[in-house]
Amino acid sequence: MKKSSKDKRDIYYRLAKEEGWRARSAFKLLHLDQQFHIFEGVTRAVDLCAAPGSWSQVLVKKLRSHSNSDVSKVKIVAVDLQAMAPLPGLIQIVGDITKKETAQAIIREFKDDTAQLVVCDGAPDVTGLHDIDEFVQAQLLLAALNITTHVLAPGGTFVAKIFRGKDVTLLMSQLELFFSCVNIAKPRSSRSTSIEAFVVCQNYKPLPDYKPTMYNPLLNLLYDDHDEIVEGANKLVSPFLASGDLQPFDSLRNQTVKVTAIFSYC
Amino acid sequence: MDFTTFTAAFETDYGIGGCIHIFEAHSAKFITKEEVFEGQRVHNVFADNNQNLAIIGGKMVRIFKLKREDTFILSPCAAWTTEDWIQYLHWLDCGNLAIVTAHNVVSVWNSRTGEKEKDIFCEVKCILYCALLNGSSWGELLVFAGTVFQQILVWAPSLENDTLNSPVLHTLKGHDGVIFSVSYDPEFQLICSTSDDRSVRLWSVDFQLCDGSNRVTQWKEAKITLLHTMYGHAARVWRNIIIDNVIISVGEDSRLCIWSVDGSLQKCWKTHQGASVWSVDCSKEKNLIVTGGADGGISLWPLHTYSTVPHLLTFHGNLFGEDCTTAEGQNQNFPRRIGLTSKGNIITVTDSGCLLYCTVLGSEEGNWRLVHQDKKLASYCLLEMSPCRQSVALASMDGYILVFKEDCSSVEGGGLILDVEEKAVAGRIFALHWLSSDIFLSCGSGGVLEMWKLGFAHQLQKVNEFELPKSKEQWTSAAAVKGNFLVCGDRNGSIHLFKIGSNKTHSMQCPSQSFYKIHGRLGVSSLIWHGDYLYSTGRDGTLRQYLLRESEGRFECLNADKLQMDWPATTNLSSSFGLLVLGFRSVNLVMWDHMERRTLLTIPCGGGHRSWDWTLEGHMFRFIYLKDKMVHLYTCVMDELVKPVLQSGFHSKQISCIQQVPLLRADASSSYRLLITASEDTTVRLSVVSHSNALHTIAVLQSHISSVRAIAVCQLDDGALVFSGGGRAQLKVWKLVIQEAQGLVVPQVKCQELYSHMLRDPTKGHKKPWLSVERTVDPETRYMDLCAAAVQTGTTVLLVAGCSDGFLRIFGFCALCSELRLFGKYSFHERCILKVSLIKTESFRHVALTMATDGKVAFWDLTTCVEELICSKHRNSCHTASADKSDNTPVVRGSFKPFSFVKIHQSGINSFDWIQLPGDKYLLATGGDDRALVLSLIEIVTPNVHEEMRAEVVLQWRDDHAHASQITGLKIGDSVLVSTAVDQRITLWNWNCHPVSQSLAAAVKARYYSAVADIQGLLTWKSGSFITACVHGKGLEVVTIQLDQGS
Repeated sequence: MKKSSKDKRDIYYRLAKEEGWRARSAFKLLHLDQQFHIFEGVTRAVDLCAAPGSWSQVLVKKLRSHSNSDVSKVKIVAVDLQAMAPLPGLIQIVGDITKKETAQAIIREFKDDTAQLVVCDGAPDVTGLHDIDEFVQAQLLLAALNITTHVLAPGGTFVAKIFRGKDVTLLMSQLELFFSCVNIAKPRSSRSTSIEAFVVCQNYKPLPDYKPTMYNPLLNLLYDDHDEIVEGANKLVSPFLASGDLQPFDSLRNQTVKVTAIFSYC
Repeated sequence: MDFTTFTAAFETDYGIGGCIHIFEAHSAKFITKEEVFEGQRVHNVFADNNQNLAIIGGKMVRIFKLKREDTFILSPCAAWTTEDWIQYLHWLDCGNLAIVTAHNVVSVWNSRTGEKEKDIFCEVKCILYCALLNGSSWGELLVFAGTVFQQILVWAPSLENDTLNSPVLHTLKGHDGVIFSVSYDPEFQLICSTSDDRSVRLWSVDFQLCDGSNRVTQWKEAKITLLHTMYGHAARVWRNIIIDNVIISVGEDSRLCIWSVDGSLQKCWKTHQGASVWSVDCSKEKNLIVTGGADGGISLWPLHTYSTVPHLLTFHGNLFGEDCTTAEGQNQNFPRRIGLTSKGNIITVTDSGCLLYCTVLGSEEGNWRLVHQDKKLASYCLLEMSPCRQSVALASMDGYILVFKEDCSSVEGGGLILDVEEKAVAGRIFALHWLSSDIFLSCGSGGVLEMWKLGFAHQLQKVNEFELPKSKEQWTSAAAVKGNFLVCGDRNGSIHLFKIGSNKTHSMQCPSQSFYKIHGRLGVSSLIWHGDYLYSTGRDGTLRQYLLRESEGRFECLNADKLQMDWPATTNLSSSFGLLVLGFRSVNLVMWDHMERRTLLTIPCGGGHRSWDWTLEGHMFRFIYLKDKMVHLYTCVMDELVKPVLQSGFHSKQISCIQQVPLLRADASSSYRLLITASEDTTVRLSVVSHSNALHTIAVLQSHISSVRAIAVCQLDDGALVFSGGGRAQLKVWKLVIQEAQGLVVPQVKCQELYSHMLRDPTKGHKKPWLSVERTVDPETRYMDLCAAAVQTGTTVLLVAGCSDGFLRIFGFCALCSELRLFGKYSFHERCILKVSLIKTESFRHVALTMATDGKVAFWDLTTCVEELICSKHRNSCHTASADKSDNTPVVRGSFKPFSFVKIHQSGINSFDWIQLPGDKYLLATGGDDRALVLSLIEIVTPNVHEEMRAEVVLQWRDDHAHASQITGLKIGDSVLVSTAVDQRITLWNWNCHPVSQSLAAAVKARYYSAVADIQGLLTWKSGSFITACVHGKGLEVVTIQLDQGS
């Protein structure tokens, strides 16, 4: 519905169409994996806010193709409010990520086991008012984190979309309470003009006394003293890593290129 | 009290930001401005009945008391921050405040102390996009919450149970998207909601209990039903108001719609330059609506208007002359042409050749009189009113011209008197144009133009004769005269200039200058002088401005503006309304306010293919037109329909670039700065920033066909050259001539478009691209950055452009012949180039810097390019005419590579600045996507004139976490550095560099939190001990930083 002069059909859009991904965002997860190896040894993964399902496609393709793993052990659960087109090897749950029942349904699917990887590419419909959009995106991330604390095994990985707006350092500090390694990365398939980036949280390590709950209004208590966190002497170190090696094109580039399969997937 | 509390309600973006502005409603005068929040936009303003204002923005609340002393003063009372995003605030009778926050929680606060008294949660927990509170006390308070799950929840916080959870009374389902606004009208018991699904929905509340029971109980038992679903917006609908039996809604499609409660659309305006309308408020007493748009503009609109229906003036053809009814019984005596006289009377000429004069009596009545009847005028007759509207000229099929004068002896006009009747032209008269009150121009067959003067003794005197150039439809459609020059526009869209010579020779004069097809193929519709400028409109939907150089005897087309109508018909300049354009948009007549860029009036008259006339005298607007063979008259008082603009809008989309235009008197005493901004909304704006950091737009240049991303400015002796480039690989060259006068607050700027250049990929010209064997990926290139430098004072300019296809393109611009030539394109990065710059070394060699998404800075030696540029200029001046098309083909030399490069960042370099230090050393500051700020001391070594140059990094300092997100703006000055990033911080650094002791370092000195989202860049200037920083992105903010205290 939004009018825009930006060219939406960049090279990754075309590559996605050519390679059969449901959306160009599939490349973002692939690029994040190239950098952080988030799929290594993972057999149980959850995709939150999955529709239209491009990240689920990546999970299915990558996890089921590990050379040394047994395909029958691989379980991938996709959660969204709306149903999406089915994918072979993907279990779909139609549910609200702020509900405890959804978390329980995920655990049930893993046969009372927890997940090793949770990914979330959800974003609100942006209104154009940046401060509201950033707030709602932060709430979505925190809701995703909240359900993640219910289903993620210690040592697990959480990947989610984050808007690098004015309160990004606050969000980072919140995530660092749960993970020992938190990085923000911007895959080259993400437009450099957007404020979108991805937070890759590795080694889930909840505080000993932390009990996952759906009742708290999404970690709101932490919001009080954000000026201190941002302006204080100990600025949070969250190394920014340009994801992936520098391959011959990026999303802003629109040169005349003959399209060949530059990325090869097994 | 005669002020308005509804200003700044949810104002966003440009200039409003964290400030509140107060205007007087009836005079539209700006009263005061107060900064409320730092780094947070004001989202809404709520007033109680005692002049208390509560202002909310994000999680912050501030309370002010509005006092009236000499003028209005805002005195601060309390301020606090909540834990959650505030969606709505409501004053309770006891002076406390109730607040709804985004997690569906209502809290009560003491408005004096800012202490929280209680929190009540709703049993349904979800994110709210909007909320409304209604009820004067806590016990009666009702919450209407619009959720992200497409529902409206109605609940009462006073029904809380033990767990602090309050039950939902009603859930309204029906919307197919996020709810953006809810309003409730207690009088008519209506709820109105707007949503992402583009609809406005109206719900009626039917209270089942009408006894004296508690209000909340009444609501609990009430039945809420959906009354109407209203579609009229073309995009998301942001806000609505129910007032005085109408519903007002505003949305992303920049429309302001007024609906009646029966669900029908009453009125619709398009406003705010196509940007979202974020806020709306209304005052029934003042009959005013106020809107705030994403372009930063604030406009007033009338709530109710009267007398807006055109009247049909009864007309009976058989009353006049002989009976013209045909055998089929059809009346042939219908009006053909129509005009308005100076007394407001109507003249028509009918198909049977009757000239009628009508005095308008009442709303639907006219007193028709037959003035003249002539068979010559039957079936074909032109009717043209003189500029003073006291004379009317009729022209016939066989060359007769009749001029009548209105009898002005009485107030209402006494009739028409025949002044001249003469067979002036052999054959048909194709067009007739009045040039002044006694001179007109006729156009006969074969393009013969004759200029006539109304002489004495009822005779026409031929003054001059001209000839139009040969064309398909060889007649004029508009003409104007100034001094010794006649300008004619013809039916083929061309404009011709004739010099009026002595009339003794009687020879036909040919045009001395022509602009061929300047207005497309459908013709020029008007040519009117306003002051020193000539304005033309054409059927191609553009308005053009020209300047006549009388001494040189030629015209200059200054610029062209695309209007939002397909048939602009005429222009008008008045002191009260500025430049107005009247024209047709499909079946409507529209009146377009060119200064404020908005449509003032829309009249469904049926379109432009009819006879019509109009007058605007003071505030009285009259418009007559023929429709269905009848005379329609529309009159209105402009005051009633057109309300002033409180604040003019700025760019309607993201501002992508800003540059300062050097003033000729470039001294510090100059009280203003001239800025030029480019935006995604495809416009380039020239603005003046005064001492008080107020911004005033003086010109809008809008001929780019896509977003404008980059601007380069180059000073000339008599003005400045501006290069603008952006999407669709379009480059434009503009010349600004700035006239500064003593005591003038705003300089006069003459702005002329000199050249427009587009890269055309050879494959693009292919008519059938699908036949091409090679599959290509979209070749549309964008110019990401531009930099210009004069290589020969005042005549030749070197322009380098960084392009999205990874090429560095080099252009040469010759100021004498106004021509831009592409010299070559060179690739190194193989990735999108983000920034380019030009350095002139101590040995006078030109070095280009390119920075791309690979984090590298590359150095290019442009010496040979510059030499070629200067040579080619000489060549061009030798054979002036030989600058043919083949000259424009680029010289691609694939071997040309940068002489050095350094990788500084992990990924894209978004911002840079450099200063020159002695010894060909340059201190380069770069800021990247990776949040790092890097200072590099670079030495450029030039061994010999034609030997390879080298660039070496001597020293480097970096802060890898200088900002929380990508750094998009950097400016380096003497020992200070200003940086800004998407995290909305502006940081002031101090740097020091000692090449001898090998030390280079920088430290943070101060930080400011800007309200501009998605900051794209920075511009700074220093005056005394102050640095003024101007950040741009989704808006523009000007901040003054004091260097000593660093505040």
